[in-house]
Amino acid sequence: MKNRFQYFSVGLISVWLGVFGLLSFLTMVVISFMQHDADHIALMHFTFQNYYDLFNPIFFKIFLKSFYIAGIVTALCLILGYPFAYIISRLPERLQNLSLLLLLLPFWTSSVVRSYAMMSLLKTKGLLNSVLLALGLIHQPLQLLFTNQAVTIGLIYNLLPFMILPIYVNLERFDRSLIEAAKDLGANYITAFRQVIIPLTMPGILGGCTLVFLPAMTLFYISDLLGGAKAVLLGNLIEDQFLTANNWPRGAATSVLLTVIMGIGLLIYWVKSNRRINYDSVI
Amino acid sequence: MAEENIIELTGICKSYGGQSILQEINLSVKDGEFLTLLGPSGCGKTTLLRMIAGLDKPSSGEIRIKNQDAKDLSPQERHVNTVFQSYALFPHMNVFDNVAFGLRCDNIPETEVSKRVTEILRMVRLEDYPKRRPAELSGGQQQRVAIARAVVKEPLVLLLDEPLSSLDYRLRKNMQIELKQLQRKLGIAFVFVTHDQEEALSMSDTIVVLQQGRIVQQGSPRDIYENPKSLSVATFIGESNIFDVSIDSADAEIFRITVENIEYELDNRGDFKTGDKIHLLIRPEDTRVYHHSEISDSTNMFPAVVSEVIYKGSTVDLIVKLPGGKLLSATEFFDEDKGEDVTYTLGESVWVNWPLGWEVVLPYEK
Amino acid sequence: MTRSFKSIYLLLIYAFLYTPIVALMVYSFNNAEFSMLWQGFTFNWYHEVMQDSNLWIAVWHSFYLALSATSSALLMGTLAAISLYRYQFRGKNVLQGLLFIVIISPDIVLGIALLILFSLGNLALGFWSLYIAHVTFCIPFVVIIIYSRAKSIDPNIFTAASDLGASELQIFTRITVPMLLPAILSAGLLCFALSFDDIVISYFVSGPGFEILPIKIFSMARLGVTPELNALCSLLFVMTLTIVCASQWVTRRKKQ
Repeated sequence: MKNRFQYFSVGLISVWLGVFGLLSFLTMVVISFMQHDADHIALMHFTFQNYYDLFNPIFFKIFLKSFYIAGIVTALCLILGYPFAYIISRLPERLQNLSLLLLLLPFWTSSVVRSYAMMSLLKTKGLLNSVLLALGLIHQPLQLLFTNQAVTIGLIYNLLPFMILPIYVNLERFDRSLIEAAKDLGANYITAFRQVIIPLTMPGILGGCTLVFLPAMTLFYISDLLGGAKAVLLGNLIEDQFLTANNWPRGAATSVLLTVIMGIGLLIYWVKSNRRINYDSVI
Repeated sequence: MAEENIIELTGICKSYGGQSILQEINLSVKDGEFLTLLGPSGCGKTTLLRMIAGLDKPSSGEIRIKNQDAKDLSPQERHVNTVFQSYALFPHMNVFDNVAFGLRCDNIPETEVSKRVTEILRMVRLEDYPKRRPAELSGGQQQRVAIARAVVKEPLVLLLDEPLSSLDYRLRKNMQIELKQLQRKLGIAFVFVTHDQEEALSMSDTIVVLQQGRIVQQGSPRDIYENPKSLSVATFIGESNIFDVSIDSADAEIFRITVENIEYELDNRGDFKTGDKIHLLIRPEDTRVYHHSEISDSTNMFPAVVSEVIYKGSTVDLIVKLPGGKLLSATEFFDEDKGEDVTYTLGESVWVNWPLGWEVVLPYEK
Repeated sequence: MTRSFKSIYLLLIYAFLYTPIVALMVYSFNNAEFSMLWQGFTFNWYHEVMQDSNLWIAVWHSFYLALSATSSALLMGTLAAISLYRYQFRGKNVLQGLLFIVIISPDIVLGIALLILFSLGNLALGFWSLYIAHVTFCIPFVVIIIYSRAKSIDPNIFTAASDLGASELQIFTRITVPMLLPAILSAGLLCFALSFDDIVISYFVSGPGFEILPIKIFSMARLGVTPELNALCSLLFVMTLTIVCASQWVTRRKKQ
């Protein structure tokens, strides 16, 4: 009985993940080393060409830009999110739960819906421009939509909770008496913050940055909606290769590269947070 | 009560990943007996319990339950049930369902389940709370549910793995008495695991002292306390003042030793020879302390100075310092009939002795 | 930091989070096609949304897909989590490794990898391709949620059940599943929401024959802001709000 139950439950999921997880990734890696062909998925011909292509200035520029935007988004999320997490972590428990609920409520709706909402807010005849015009702060509607700034705002709007939550979890478990001890030992508020609170919430900060930075490179639909034709993210590049340029091998190569970047990001997180992630914490 | 061995362990060894946990354990549990496995944490007592329950398998050796080899018996087939240290109550079931769980697993008709559960709940005085969830009960009540859940299956032996360790001191004392009474009422054997020597002494018919995976002594509480067979047992069970001395001269009847420059003549109960090194153990409650004013003849007495007085309510614990610097602890009982003055001041000079013959003499161990 | 500063800070962040949504809802009642100026109150756009049968087919598809993907992922994930927690078996590391791959791979990569696999396997893009993709990305969430809940259970509970004579099947049905039920329910809720809202993966593996709501909204939004879309998104938001509040209310009542 025990064995049959075990074989069934372990076997089922292993086969599923083996085929649709592992096998599909391996196929993607294989395709990324094949030659592009307009009529087929790829030609059975081994080549490094797709990877060379990625260092072509056009693509390389997209890479850099994507990195740059993801970096800005991460930094802004951290600057906005840390104080937020800090303030709510010190509220009474009932208010804490309410604040968290309010924070997460919008995130239960589709992020397409939220991005669309941001789009209608930022458009030339949108609410923001109307308000600014009515207040007399500007005389001409600003071109907000379809700019890099709009993409940045959209990404922050979608990713902010991913920064706040890990930091909040860290701060919430934080032993308050440590701050009191630091103050008792003569530290002022800023010293206590810099020397005690920040270092001890580092895992949360790193976790938040990982959770924001990596998706910020791939959420192509946000860039599609808010950045218009000037699509700037790595995700858009991949989307484009598959659905427009129809160059699957190059798209696969980009994906492989993205995965490698992701892996490096996670590795940095893993090393920096004192090897805190292990199988048990992830699974 | 039949004096039949219901559980017999012979030559049980257990090792985990090359590390030996238990070595050559021979043990038998008699029907209706309250047997305690006593030892410090990590001595293997819980492992031994789990093997009896069938939750662990011995690396070698034999376990017989009711004269039947238990090697291939699953935990379900052993008629042995366990009360866990953490109680392990099912949090999603109420008291009644928790207790009924084992019976329902055996597909016993619901009318009988109800009858037996009600009866056992009355026995553990929980008949008023059948609908409560474990989380709504106090620690002592949870403890009783755990016991009821195990004994409702009418096991041959009930195994208890440090069941009192998470209760506070007062409750623990009460539960000790309650457990002992329950065991008498049920008439089944209890195998009780603890690291608390006081608990072991007050509840058991038999104490088995385990140290580093071996049984070092087995006997009645009194036997273990008064005649420890080794220094480690003596120091584990109760406090002792220990003198390491050599025997000056010995014959079949008596031997002579010099302790702190005073010569003593003691009965030779251990076949000691001249020159043997021994440990002389004196329990604090056997150590007598006298004011100078009480004593006219100070033969066989140590001069000492009171260096600490600890008032304990029913007793006064003293720490006295001998001229050589050695510290002895002594427990003095208030005895109003004798009118003894048990008020001591720090730094007071006193005389110390013990009733000759109450000492424990053990061969020297490193 | 003073109290008022803290309150203002929190309010500003909440304003950032809620203004777009509130504005969207307000303008969904505006009687004007393009202007952001208030032209009077109307239900017109909601009426149009209600009439759009294509839209409702997409809603039905999304619902149907989320329900089937969630139940399959729950089944596989729960069994796997329990096995991972309760038993030692050969290949445990392999299974953990497989889960790890799916967890750390970016959504877009998973979408593409599956697209390639389906194309090579000649699986037409439609319900089944979406179903497979959604089950695949939901499984790790189920395993993580249920495994971490299971880890907090005192292992002696299972030992005790076994000691009291329960068979493996009885332990599973009477102890493990009831104790994990809250975790299973919340994993199910999360999977449903993830599947219902997913766009990144679905975008690559959906086909014209089986349109789902997020993709439909995405393609509509690409064409620009329209009042119908405002109305639709408002409806969706209110729906989510209701479900989340209801589930909060239920859990709170249960706790009491």
